Amino acid sequence: MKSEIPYRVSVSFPGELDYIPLVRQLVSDALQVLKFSPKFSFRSEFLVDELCNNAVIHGSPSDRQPVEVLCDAYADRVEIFVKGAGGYHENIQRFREAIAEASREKGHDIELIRLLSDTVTCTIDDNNVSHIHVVRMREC
Amino acid sequence: MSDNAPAAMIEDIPQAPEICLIRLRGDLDIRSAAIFDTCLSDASMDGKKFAIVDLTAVTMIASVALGKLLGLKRRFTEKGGDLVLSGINLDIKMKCILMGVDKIFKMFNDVHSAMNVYSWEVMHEAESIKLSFPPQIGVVPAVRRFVSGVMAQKGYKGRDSFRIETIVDELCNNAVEYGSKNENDNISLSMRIDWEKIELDAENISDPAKREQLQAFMSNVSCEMPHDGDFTRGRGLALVKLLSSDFSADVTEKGTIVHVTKIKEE
Amino acid sequence: MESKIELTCESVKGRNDAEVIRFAGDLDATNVQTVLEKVTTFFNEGKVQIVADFAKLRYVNSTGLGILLHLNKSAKEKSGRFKIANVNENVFEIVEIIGATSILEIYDTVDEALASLN
Repeated sequence: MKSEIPYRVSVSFPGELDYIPLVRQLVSDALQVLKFSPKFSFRSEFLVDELCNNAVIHGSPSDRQPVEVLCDAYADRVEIFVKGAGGYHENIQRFREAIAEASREKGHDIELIRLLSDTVTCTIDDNNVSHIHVVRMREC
Repeated sequence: MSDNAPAAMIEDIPQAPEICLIRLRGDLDIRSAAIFDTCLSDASMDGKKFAIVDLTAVTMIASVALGKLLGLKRRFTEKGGDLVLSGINLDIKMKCILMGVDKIFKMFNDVHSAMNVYSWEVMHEAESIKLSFPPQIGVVPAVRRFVSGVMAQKGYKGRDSFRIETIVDELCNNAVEYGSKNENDNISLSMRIDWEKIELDAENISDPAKREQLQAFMSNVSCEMPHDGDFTRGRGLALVKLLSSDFSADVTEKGTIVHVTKIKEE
Repeated sequence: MESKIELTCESVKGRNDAEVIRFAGDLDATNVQTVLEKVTTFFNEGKVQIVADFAKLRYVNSTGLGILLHLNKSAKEKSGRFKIANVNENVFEIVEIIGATSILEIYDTVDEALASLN
C-alpha cells in the first residue's frame, strides 16, 4: 500500500552512454545511504544501467532530449522511472511488446530487467518518448 | 535475397544538417562495392561535411570495403569535416585494429555517442545535467563523485576538475546544513557545461530557523578565512567564492539559490 | 554513506610518544568524526607527536581541513605536534587558499616531518 512519501533521487542527463556508469553509481550510493543493503543497491544499479542503456541506444539520434532517471525509495520498495531520449516508434513498440510477452528481446535484455523487478510497465507518449516504470520490493 | 545481403541507408539528421548518417548492413565484401559507390557518393554530394557510418548491422567487412570508407573519409576531410564509424562489433573491431584502421577512423559505440561528441567537440554545444537528492550529508560524496566523473569526461582535468568538485561539495554541504531538515525537501543541483566554463546552480528550501543567520552570512561572504572558533564552520562558502569566477546567492523565504560560474583555466 | 577513508598506523622507532598515520581516500564531512576519534585515541594513549602521511589522500574539503586544524591545536595543547607530509598539489592549493599553510606544519616527506619532531 503506497502511503508514505518516498526519498527521491533524480538525474537528467544527455542521452549519451558515457554518462550511464556515473548515473548508476550515484543511484547505488544514494540507496545505500538510504539504508538499502549493498546487494539490493547493486541490483537496482543494474536495473538503472539496463534501462538507461535502452533509452540511449534505442532513442532517436536526431532527438536531443535528455534521459531522465527518477528513483523513489520507500520503506518497502524502490520504484525506478526512466524517461527515454525520444525514440523510433518501432523500437519502443518492440520494447513494449517484449515486456508484455516476457520474452528475451535481442538488444533489450528485457528478461534481465524482469528477473530483477517485481513489476515493469512501459508507456509511450505522443512525442514517442518512452516511460519505463520498474518496481523492486525490498528483500526481507 | 540472403539475410546478409549488403545494403546502405542514408539519413539526414534535422538538428544537425551538416551530418549524414549512413547505416550499412550485411556482409561488406567485394560484391557490395557498387552499392557502396552509389550510396556513399550520393551522400558526399549532398553538401554534408560530416558522416557517421553505422556498422551495427554489418556482419563482415572486407578490406575492399574499408578501402572505400577510407576514400570517402578523405573526401569529407578535404571539406574540413570528418567521417567516423559507430556500432562496431568485436570481430570487426579486431580486424580494424589488426589493419591499423583504428588509428585512422574515430570509432564510437553507437550513433548517439558519435552525435554527442560532434555536438560537443565541433559545435561546442553546452550540455545540461540536473540532479535532485535528499538533504542527507551521506549523499554528498556520491554527488561529488558524479560531478567529478562528468568533469573528467568533458575534458576538465587536474586542477579545474578538483576545484569544481570542491565547489560542489561545499555548496551541497551548506545546503544540507542550512537547509530544511524535512527529508523530502530535496536539494537540486543544475549544471551547464561547455568548452569554456561550467555554471552551477544549487537550490534548496531553507530551514526557517536558520534563514536569518544564512542571509547575514551570505551577505558577508568574503574572501577572508576564519581561523578561530568552531573548527567546522565558516570556510566553505568563502572557499567557493575564492575558487569561482563568479558567485551570487539569493536567500528568500522560499529557499536559497547559489549560482556559481567557473571558467576553465587549464 | 561515508566517503572511503582508510587510516593505517605505524609506530616510530625509538619513540613511544609518536605515530605515523597514513591517510588514504577522501576526507570530508561524512568521515571527519571517524578520523577525529581515531587520532584522539592516540592522543589519549600519550602518542601526541603525530605525522600524517597524505600521499594517498586524494581530496579534502573545508570540513576536513577544519578537523586538521583542530587536531593541530589539540596536539599543541598536549605539548605535542600534528605534522602533515606528502600533500598532493590539489589539496595543497585548498590548504593555501584557506590560509592554513601558516598554521599547519606541512613537510615534503614523512622523514622530514619525523626529523622535525626532535
